[in-house]
Amino acid sequence: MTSLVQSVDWVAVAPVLVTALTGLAVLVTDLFLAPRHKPLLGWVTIAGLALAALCLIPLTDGDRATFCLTTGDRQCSYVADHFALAVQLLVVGGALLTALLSVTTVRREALPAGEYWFLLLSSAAGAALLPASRDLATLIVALEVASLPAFALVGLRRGDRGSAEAALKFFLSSVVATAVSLLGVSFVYAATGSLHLDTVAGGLDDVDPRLNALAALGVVLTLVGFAFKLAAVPFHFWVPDSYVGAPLPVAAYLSVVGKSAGFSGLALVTVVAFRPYADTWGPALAVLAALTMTTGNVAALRQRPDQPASAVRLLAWSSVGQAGYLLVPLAAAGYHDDPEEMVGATVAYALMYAVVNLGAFAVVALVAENRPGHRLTDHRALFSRNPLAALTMGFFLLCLAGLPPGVIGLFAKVAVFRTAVDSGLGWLAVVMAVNVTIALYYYLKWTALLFATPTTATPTTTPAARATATTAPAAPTPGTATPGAPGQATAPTATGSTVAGSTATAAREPSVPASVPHPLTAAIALAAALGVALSGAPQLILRLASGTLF
Amino acid sequence: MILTAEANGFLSPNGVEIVFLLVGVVTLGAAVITVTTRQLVHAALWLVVALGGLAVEYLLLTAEFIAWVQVLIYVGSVVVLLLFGLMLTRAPIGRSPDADSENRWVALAVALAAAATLVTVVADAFRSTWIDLDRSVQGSPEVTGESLFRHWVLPFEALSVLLLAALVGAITLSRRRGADDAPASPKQER
Repeated sequence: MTSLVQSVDWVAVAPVLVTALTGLAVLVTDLFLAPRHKPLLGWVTIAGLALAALCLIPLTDGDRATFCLTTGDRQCSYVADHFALAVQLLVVGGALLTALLSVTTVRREALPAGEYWFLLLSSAAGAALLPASRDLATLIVALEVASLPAFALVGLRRGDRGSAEAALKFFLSSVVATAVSLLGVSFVYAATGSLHLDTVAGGLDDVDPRLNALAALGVVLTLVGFAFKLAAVPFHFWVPDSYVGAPLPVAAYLSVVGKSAGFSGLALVTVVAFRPYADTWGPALAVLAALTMTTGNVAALRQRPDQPASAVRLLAWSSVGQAGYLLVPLAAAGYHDDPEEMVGATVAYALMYAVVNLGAFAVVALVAENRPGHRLTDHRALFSRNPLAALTMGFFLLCLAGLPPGVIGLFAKVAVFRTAVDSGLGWLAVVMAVNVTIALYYYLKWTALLFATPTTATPTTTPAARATATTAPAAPTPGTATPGAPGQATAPTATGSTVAGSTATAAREPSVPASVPHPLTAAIALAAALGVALSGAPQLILRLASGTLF
Repeated sequence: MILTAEANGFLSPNGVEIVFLLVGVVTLGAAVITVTTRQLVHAALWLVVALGGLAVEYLLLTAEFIAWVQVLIYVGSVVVLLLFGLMLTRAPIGRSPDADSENRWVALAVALAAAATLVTVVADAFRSTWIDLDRSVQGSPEVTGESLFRHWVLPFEALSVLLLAALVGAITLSRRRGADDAPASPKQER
């Protein structure tokens, strides 16, 4: 007689478990730490996430499964196959970079440290559980574990009306989406009598004809919750406000790890569970993909560079556009004979996007150290102030656009493109090509802004600006009229409304590179190193795009 | 669940079916009054009737565990929380004519569309399906607990993380900055 309870393979669940336990440890430690030792918690978080990433190494064979049923066909709730491992690497790595970004933010904005790190870690644990779960109950619970702490993180900036409003909006709409998803799951369960993805696929294969409409509606409704997390149009309206209202690292986290929760859930339910209904979700996802990328890119195009938080808004809308590209291989899977082959392209693209987008957010955070407005115009002439930061930002933006030297961005886009063409979705490939071109415009405009000369009016004042820059620290009172007057002259015309603020910052700018916090530098360096390594050896992630991951 | 209507006639209902329908009508009526009444406290109390009616429906279907969960969580805590919320925010107790939203026609349209879709789909799928209530009990706490801790340990554990995160998140969001600083200052003095 076999055991009545499920056996647990602790090594297989280690990446998730380590993340969650670190979160608990941080929460408890926070109680006993004196306020001046609180920054330690950030480093504990980073160490825990690094450990979780190391826990992926013994699993590389991709053949472990645990939490299996003790009766019947022994379906498992947790499977550590290559798909799960790749997405877990993305989630843990993304959370690690976010944590590096957050160290400074938590201290400077006086966010409650223990709670912040605990919420970040529990959200990451949920997002890491999601790609490995193989039943609808665990999937939905994992999706909620990934997103519920995120609501709190968005609203954490206390005393800020925008932040609280963004959190509430995000919370209400997300809960509605999850409720709709749950209704869909209950319909699917009613039609198939199972929650395990493989059994659901078998059950949907020969569903009672009377239950056909119910099953189809269940399939469509189930997708809603996941599409919401991916911020696919029309479930995207929460994105810009939440990103702007949230602390910057949280926005970066949502754009990468939040999306990974959405697309991995979508990939699992469509390709594994609802395979027999490919003619229902295939066209739905294709339309969703086309709408998402077009809406995101057109809205990104319309951002005015001199508005407050325009850099974050542009990244928010561009992340909506990028979510559209992520959906293309999933839609293609609905038309292809071998749908599992298609998912790899999405995972590869997501890995590229995670590295590059987090890098871009890190540079935005770096620029905000001196000019906290998060405006696009704050990036003007970054090259003359901080050449290294400007070069890395340029690299990240070119990767996002898919142009050399951002080779990896180009190859990942080609991999996505190929899935659409291979499965006969010519129109979607055309829509994507048009969108890539639209996106080129605003990414290149931003890149050009980085390397623009410090003044827009006359290029000849550049030496004057340099002179101001060198004399300003030597001046005894760097806020007075003497350095202020040339500073005013060199201030970009676009920020004319905030001349008073920018004169003060312009005077202090020369001391900038020395005062950059180390964790932020580490985050940028890590992202840049990963981006360059992937551009040098794209096969590292493009390997995923060929063959099946399941 | 059986998919035949042989032993069951639509026009010869037994006692359980009649009670089920009557409770259903009461629940629907209470739900409609909940959203149409102008008095907030009355709305909360009618919600008790609607949610309690659902619990009775669950009991009639022998889903004992779900029925008591419904009573404990929805009637017991959600409605009490609502009433506490009304009291603590000093919301007007009497009639509140301004509690109406401009969006009520949109809400009505959405509600009607959703109800129409659900009723047609579910009724179409299960119109000839009868549950055999005399067979072994499916929804008792014993059956539920056995299935939960034998087959659904992973989501159960994940839920514990979810609830803890929800708790911590709610506390963090509701704490004011002033309240946060106040206990910190005496410590620094020492």
